Parts: sequence; C-alpha cells; structure tokens
Amino acid sequence: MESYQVNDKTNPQSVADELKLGKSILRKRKAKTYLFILSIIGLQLVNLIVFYFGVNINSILMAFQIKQDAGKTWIWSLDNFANIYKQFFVSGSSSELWIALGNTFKFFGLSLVMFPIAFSTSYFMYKKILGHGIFKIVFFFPSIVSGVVWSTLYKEIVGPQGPIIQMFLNFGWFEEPIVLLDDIRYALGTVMVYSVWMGIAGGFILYGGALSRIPTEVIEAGQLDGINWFNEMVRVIIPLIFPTMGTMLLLQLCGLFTASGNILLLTGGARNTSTISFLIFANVYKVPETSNKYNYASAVGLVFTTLTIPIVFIVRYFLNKIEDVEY
Amino acid sequence: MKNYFNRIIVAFVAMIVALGATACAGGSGNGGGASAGGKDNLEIFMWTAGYGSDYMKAVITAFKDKNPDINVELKLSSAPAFSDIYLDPDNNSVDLYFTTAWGYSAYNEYLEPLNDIVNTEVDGVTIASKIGESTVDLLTAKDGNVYSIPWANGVCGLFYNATVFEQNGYKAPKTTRQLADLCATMVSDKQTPFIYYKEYWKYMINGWMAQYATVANFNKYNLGVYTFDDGTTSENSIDLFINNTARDKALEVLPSLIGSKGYIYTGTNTLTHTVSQTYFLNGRGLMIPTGSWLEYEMRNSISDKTPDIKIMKYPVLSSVGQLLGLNENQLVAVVAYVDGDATAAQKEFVDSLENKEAVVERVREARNVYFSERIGHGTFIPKKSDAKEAAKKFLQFYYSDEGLKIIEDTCGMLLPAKYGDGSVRKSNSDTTLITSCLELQGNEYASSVERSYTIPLFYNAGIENFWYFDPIGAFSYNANTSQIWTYNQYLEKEKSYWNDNWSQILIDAGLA
Amino acid sequence: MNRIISVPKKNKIKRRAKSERVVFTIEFIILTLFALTYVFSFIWGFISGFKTHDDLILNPWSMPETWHPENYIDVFSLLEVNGVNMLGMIGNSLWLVFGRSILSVLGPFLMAYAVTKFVFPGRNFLIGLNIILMTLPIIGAMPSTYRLYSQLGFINSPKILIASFGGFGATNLYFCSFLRGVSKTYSEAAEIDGANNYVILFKIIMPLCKGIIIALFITTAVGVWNDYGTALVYMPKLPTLATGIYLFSTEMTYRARMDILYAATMLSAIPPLVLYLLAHKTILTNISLGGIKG
Repeated sequence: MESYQVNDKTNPQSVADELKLGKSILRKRKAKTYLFILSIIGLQLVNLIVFYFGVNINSILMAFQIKQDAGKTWIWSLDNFANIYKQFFVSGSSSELWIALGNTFKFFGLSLVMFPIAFSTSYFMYKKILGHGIFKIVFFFPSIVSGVVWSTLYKEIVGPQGPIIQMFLNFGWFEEPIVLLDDIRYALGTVMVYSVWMGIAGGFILYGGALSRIPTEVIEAGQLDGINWFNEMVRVIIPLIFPTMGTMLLLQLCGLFTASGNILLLTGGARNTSTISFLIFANVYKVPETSNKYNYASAVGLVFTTLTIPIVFIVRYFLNKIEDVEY
Repeated sequence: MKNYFNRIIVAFVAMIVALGATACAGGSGNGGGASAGGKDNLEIFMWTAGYGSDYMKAVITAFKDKNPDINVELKLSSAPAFSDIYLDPDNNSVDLYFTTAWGYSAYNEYLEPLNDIVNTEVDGVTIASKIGESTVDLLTAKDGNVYSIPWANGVCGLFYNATVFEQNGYKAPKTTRQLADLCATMVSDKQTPFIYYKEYWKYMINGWMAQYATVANFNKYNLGVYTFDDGTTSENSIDLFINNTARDKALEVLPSLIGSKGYIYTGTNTLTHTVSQTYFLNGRGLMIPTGSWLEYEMRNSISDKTPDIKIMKYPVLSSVGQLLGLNENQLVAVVAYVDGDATAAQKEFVDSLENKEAVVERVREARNVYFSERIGHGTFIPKKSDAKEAAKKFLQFYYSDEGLKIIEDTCGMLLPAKYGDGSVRKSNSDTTLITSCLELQGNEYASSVERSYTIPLFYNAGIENFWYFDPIGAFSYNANTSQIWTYNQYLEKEKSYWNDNWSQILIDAGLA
Repeated sequence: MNRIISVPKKNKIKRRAKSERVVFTIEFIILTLFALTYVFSFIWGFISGFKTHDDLILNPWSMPETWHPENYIDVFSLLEVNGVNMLGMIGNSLWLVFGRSILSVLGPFLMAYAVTKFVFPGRNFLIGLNIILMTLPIIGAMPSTYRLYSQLGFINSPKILIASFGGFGATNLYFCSFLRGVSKTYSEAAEIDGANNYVILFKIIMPLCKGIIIALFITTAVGVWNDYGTALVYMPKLPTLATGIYLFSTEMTYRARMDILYAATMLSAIPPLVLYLLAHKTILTNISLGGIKG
C-alpha cells in the first residue's frame, strides 16, 4: 500500500475539487492549510535552528580554533587537524587514535554479528516459543535497570573470585586467578561480551513489532502450500522484515562513532579498550573549559563525522536498491 | 488496556503534583545576601567527603554564637560542586564552598582572592603561617593572588597492618630496598604484602621523588620549574617529563615491590579505593598506600576484629644513598641515625663521615617527607557572592584555634592548619592510626609534599602526574608476563609519548 | 517435548516438524539461560541492598550475614546531592520525565503528520533533512550547548523542557511509517462533515495513533528516567534520581556504603519496571523501525 497525500495533483478527488470550486476559494483553502501546517511544525523548526544548527555550527567552528594565553583568547588554526594527522600518520599504530579506531570497528563488527542473533530472538518470540510471555518481560530488564548495577555485577562475575574464573581454574586453563578486565589480552573481549549480554535482550524489541505486523494471510498461504518452517523463515519472513533490518543497519552505522558502550563503567578506557567516542568524552570530561582539549575533541568529532557521511549514503543507496528488488 | 493507562497517568500526575511541585524549587530559590532584617545570609556549600559533616555543623553553631547578625545556611552534597561558580555565576547563591576542584585555577577570574584572609592574624600568627608558608606559595597564582586554601588535611603514605607486623616480627623498613626485602619475607610467610587502589601509589611516588630531588626542588615542579643537577632551571619545558631523574628513580622502585608473583592481591588493580580499604581492614594484604582518612571513611567497616593500623615513615629511596656516595648498608646506618635507633657501629660510621652534617640533613629530610592531601580540598568564595565579608569572617573563625579545636574534637581528622602555638593536636584521645600520622606530621623535621595545579600546563593540558603511562598497570604482576613492561621499556615509552605530544600539550595548555 | 512449542492459535491441529522442535528446544534453553542471568542479577542487586557494606564487598556471592531492611529506608536520608534528598530527586525526575516525554513525542508526531498527510513546499526537504540529521553524528557539542542554554536561562530551570520540543529523529521515523499506514477514510469523512484541520488531527488521527503514542511515550519516559547526563550537566541544582545515584556511585569512594548504592538503584528501577509490566504489550506491538510498508 502506498501512502497518499491530500492535495496530490493526480488525486481524482483534487481534480474534482478544482472543478467544483472557484480558484480563489481554492487559494484561500490552500493558505489555510499552509497556516495549519505552519502552526503544527513551526515551533519544531525554530527548535531545530536554535538547538541543532546553532549549537553544531559553533562546534564546527571550535575545531578550527586553538586556545592561547592560557585559554583566555583563541585564534583560527588548523593545529587540531594537524595533531590528528600526526597521530594517524606519524605516531603509528600504537597511537591513541589508531587503537580507538580499531576498537570502534571491532564494536561495529560485533553489532553486525548481533543482527542475526537479535532477529532469531525476535523470531522465536514471534513463533510463541514456550515461555515467550515471560521472556518478553525479562528481556526488557537491561533497559530499565541502571547500567551501574549491571556493570558492577558483571565485574563480580568475571572477577578473580567470580564463578567464571573459578571454573577455568578448576579446568586448569589458568594457573592462578586473572582479572579479565585488567589484562590487555582479554579486556576488550570482556567488554564486548558485556555488550552481547546486554544487547541480546534489546534486540527482540526492534523486530518484534515488524514481525507482529506480518499479515497472517501471508503465513497461512505458505503453510497451506506446505513449506517447512525453515523455508517459511528464509523465504517469507526475512524478506518481509528486511526493510527494518536495513534501517537498523543504517542507524548502527550512524552511531558508529557516537556509541560508546560501557567502557567508562567497566575499564575507564584502560588496557586498550578506548573507542573514538570514549576518546572524545575523555577529552572533555573533567577538563577545564579553558583547555584546548575541547577544540581538539571537536576536531576529532568533525573528522569522523565527515568520514561517516559518505559511508552512510553509500549503504543507504544499496539498501534502497535491495528494497526495490524485493518489492 | 485503555483503563490501565488512564489510571497510570492519573496516578503519575498526582505524584507530580505531590512531589514535583515541592522539589522543583529544591536547592535553588535562596536569594542569598543581605535579607530584609539586615541579617547577613551566608550560604555554605559543603561536599561531605570522607570526613562527614558533623564537624562543620559544630563549627557553624559556634560561629553563629559569636556572630548573631550572620545567618548561616549549610547545603550538603555527597558530590563535589564547583562548576556553578563559572558556568552560572549570576544565579549562584552559594557564598562559600568547601569542595574539591581539580584545575580550579582555570577559573580564577570568577573567584575572590583570599589574600587578606591568609594575611589575617589570629591567635598571634597569620593564617598563612598556620597553613604553612610553603603551601601558600604553592597556591599562589601567577597574578600573586591566592584563590583557594585547604579546609581538610590527609597525611598520606604507606599504612600497614600493625597487628600482623607485630605477630610476625616484621620491622618497618628504613629504605626501599628493605621494603622490597620485607615483601619477600612476607611472601615466604604466605602473606600478601600489598593491597591497593592504583591511583594512591602517587603518594609514594611523589614522596620518593621529593626525597631524591629535595622537597624544595619538588615544590618547584608544581610550578612547572625543573632544576638540573648543575642548578640551572627550565620552566614549562619537556625536561620535567623526560629528563626528570627524580621521577625515574622513584619509579624504578616499583617493579621490586609489585612486579612479582604473590606480592600483590590478585585483582587489586581494578579495585576502587573503598573496596581496597575494606579488603585491607579485613587482612587481605598487609600494606596499603592511602591517607589518614582511612578509619573515618571506613567507619562502617571498623569492628573489634579490625587490626591495628599505622602509617610508616617513608622508606628512603635507596638511590638517594648512591647520590650521597653511600652503599645500602651505609644508607641504612644514616637513616637509623636520624631515626634515633642506630646501633653503636652505625653511629660510629655516621660520625666518621667527612660531610656528616650535609648527609645527615639530606637523609633526615628524605626520611621525614610525607605526602599531604590538602590542596585538593579547597575552600572558595565566588566573586559574585554578596556575602563575601561574612564568608571571610567564617573562614577566619574556621582557622582560629577555637575553630580548629572544634574540628579536632568532633571529627578527628588531621587539621588543615596548625594551632597558634605551632602544635597540630590539642587532645590525645586519638586512635593508633591517627597517632602514627600525627607523629609523622608533628615531627619537627617533617616536611610535607603536595601537588598543586595552579599553572595552565597542568590544568589546561590535563596533566595530573609527572608521568603519563600508568606505572602501576605497567609494573604490577599479572599472570600474563608479556604485559609487564620492564623499567627501561617504560622509560622509553614515556620519552616517546612526551616527545610526540609535547607540541600538542603546549597548544592544549594555551602556551603555544 | 511437544509442550516446548505452543503452536499459533489458528493452526492448533498442525504438528511441527521434528527439526523445528529440536531448534526450538535449543533456542528455549539459550533464552532461558539469558533470562536467568537477568533475573538473577536483579535479585542479586536487591539482596545486596540488604547487606552491610563489608558483607557486600567481602562475600558478594553469599546471602546476607544479617538482613538490613533499614537500608531501603536510610537511602532516603543518605542520598543527598546539592541539598536535595531522594524525595526531591524523585520529584525532579517526574517533571523531567513527563515534560520531556510528552514534548519529545508530540513534536515529531505533529511533524510526521504534516509531512505524510500534506503536500507543501519544503515537504520533501524536511523528510530528507530528518535522515541527514539522524545520520550526522556531531560530537563534542556540549560546551556550546551549555553556553546557549545559559544565555536562554535554561540552566537549573524547567525551561530546559522547551529544548525537547523537536520534530525530528527516530521518533519521527516511527510516526511517519505508522501514519503512512493510516487510512484516509476517517479524516475525509470528518472533512466532509465540516471538521477543521485541528479537529481532524486531535479528534480523529490522534486517537487512531494512541497505541504507538503511548508506546513511544513509555520508552522515552524510561530513557529519561534512567538518563543521568542531562541533569548532571544542565540542572546541577535540580538533580534527578538517576543523577543522584550516578553521583552517589562515583562518590561512593568517599562513603563506603555500597549497600546504600544498591538499595537506591533497585528502588529507582521499580517505576520503569512497573510501567513496563503494565504496558509491554502496547510497546511490543507498536514499535518497530521501518515496519512493513503499507
């Protein structure tokens, strides 16, 4: 079904209107409609100009400024970008930015892996697996209980006295207790496992709605044709919710450099677990405003924003293509 | 479903009316300043750190008795606040802050200079001399003004489980090498030498740095000045971070203390400070670098079963001996000499030294160094306050003998200033822990080491320490041996970090 | 084994294939394990709130040595930030939650209604703009936001709610996809009866969208309830419960009362939990990104 518009020129109703009413009346009516539209979206537009453009333009300008005289004055400069360049191409792969960038992509990769997992959770809920009523409630817990509790608990679970390490010790995998979050080999992985633990639950909400809106006739038709459950999933259900997946992928991409997970609560960025967004946060958090670090953070933000835009548009382009094929 | 929501919404609206209406005004709404009756209205903000707030209430009561024309309002917070001073100066009703604010110097323009307070005489001496002239020097900004003075004091260093020490016959070490040997003994006794909160090792490292560089030179580091061996100096330069021998020598000790299996409590690197202190009080490690607040902060964890806790004198960095041309045994002899527990042979050796006076004085200073966590707890008067005079009057009272006595009696924390007669304590009802801290602090040779951040190189560039890479993470034992850096690797990494980033640090600091 | 799969109502007679049963059993076990970890954590947090600080730190995995239900009462007096106690924080949370959720759902709803149901100059621009705005991850804008809010007098003031009345973002997308599926018949009938645009919007369309509006309202409300950042930065004198707990947890290092922290956190989780229990059906049936076209 296509959405259709009130005053669409091709709409037969509009054409009929045009015949019936005089042009002046039509114009008056149009003006009235515009006035109505303005009345319901005007404030949002003002809001956008003030709170979005106003704020962000300033942020972009900050990227091109550096502080002087102990932060009391500033001048235009490209030094912030020069520093980013230096971090990337002079300091080499052990620089903060490279490590953070690498981790950012690892987290992104993880979120891609989470797609099918979230889908399958939603699918089984949709298929009313035993206990789905309870699962639906329990799986919402991670979203409602504060991250402070989850991260504290998680730290205990993976801690040296926790059940996991004790089990490994019993198996003889480790000679002595280790602290996963304080070990450069395991810290990042341990943070990622936490993301999976918290993420599995949220995923089903995303697809639950889309699945519930699949017309029952479509499913029933398939069942009458005698297709098995696997084919039903692959050939009927997945294509139907593909647009939702596409949108999710796009949003995931948009959030590539802004989502920071729970690094602050788990490791504080130590042991090579920092990401780009955490790096920006760390340059602003508890730093006096007179410091140029704010400007540097703005520059990092701007660089990665600029890098993301083309990627997002390319992905969008391909997603639209796929959708066109499917429908 | 429909009815559900109507009910929920009605219930919530009712709750909003009941709670929201009253709380919306919470915290704000105090005009501050002189009220209609001509009574001065002094609003005090207090961060209820480890020391609690009872003592402040007692000080206020006494102050009110003396100044009935001033109406004091105390606002408590479990979180420190400072940003109102510069972010929203016009709507800030607080007249006096007792809080913590790292890098506050960036906002000096919003603060009232406290010079006249510092120079006020109470009990026959200036407040500056009560606080300590050297501390006031550290707090003096480039423009010659003092904007913050300490309201609390913590004597920091290495605390130990005196009960177990006594049971096992362990002696407090005189040098860092003795400390390392002691750790080895403990490990062979199946004891865990260290439990710690990573950050607090800075008390030890800075103290050791001051031992090596001398306290006077260390204090100059705080102002961005590095003094070379030949006496030449450089200011705001990279030397402080890459040519700093004192720092290197202090860090060199760490691998021998925390670098081997069994020397540290497993997982201690991830502990917060209260958790590590809880473990320490329950015997999971015999030594912990922390501060004199330990007992008061952990008052919920103290019971009859809690062992005796004491602070030890800073073990003298063994490399100070090399600096003075002494070998380890000779250094131990000099330390014993200044401690007053030297054997006859040791005394003889010290007396035979050619430059005895200089050596003894140098070692004595090193032995009596302690780290003082005072500057971190600062009091401020916002420039926009309309009750500045009342605030200043209150501070004068706070630092008077009368005020200090109330603090001593109600809280037991170490005082932010001395009494008029130079003493640090009036009563002697203190616990073992506080008594040992007082011995360290009240000793006539004691010199405190502090960190201040009044220069843009520190506060604007976000430099909190004289090192960049976390030395504890780098040196502490981990089951994964490849993760430990050797001392030389660490220094190399430090050097390349500072070299690579120095130009950016200067930009960040606004010094480029 | 058969009980594992409760068959969709309409096909009661149909038995599932064996392979399907195996897969469902495996999935059931996995989901159960995950669900157990969540439930267990919740109970663990709740029980921890009954311990003493030492008991909690030293024996995190055991039951309390002695039960201290008074922790759940003490928390009301011990949690104090900037002169505001826990009740005050709850009050601040409530007006912020309601104000922000209503405005940030209503704004995008109206915007979505305008762009999906009317043709006007700039309409396509607005649709495209939303995508661009959602795609542009501009970072590090906090200082300039603060300055702006400060100039407008939003700091420490409920006026900050004004900034929530935006028209874009994911909420807009949800509404667009939903409104595209709403049939024109009702509004056309009303129009013929002489109803004006406002009547159509508020009396016809809005009731039709009630489900999704409530679902988005509740998810937004839960988010605002748990958001500590906004109040932390922009309304330090009006701390919300989430801010208070966050500050308490970071400053816990000076208090040594982890037990109180747990008690506070568990109490703060109750309102969203209750809200969700009551409304999860509405939420789950109404929210999906993109959805099925049509």
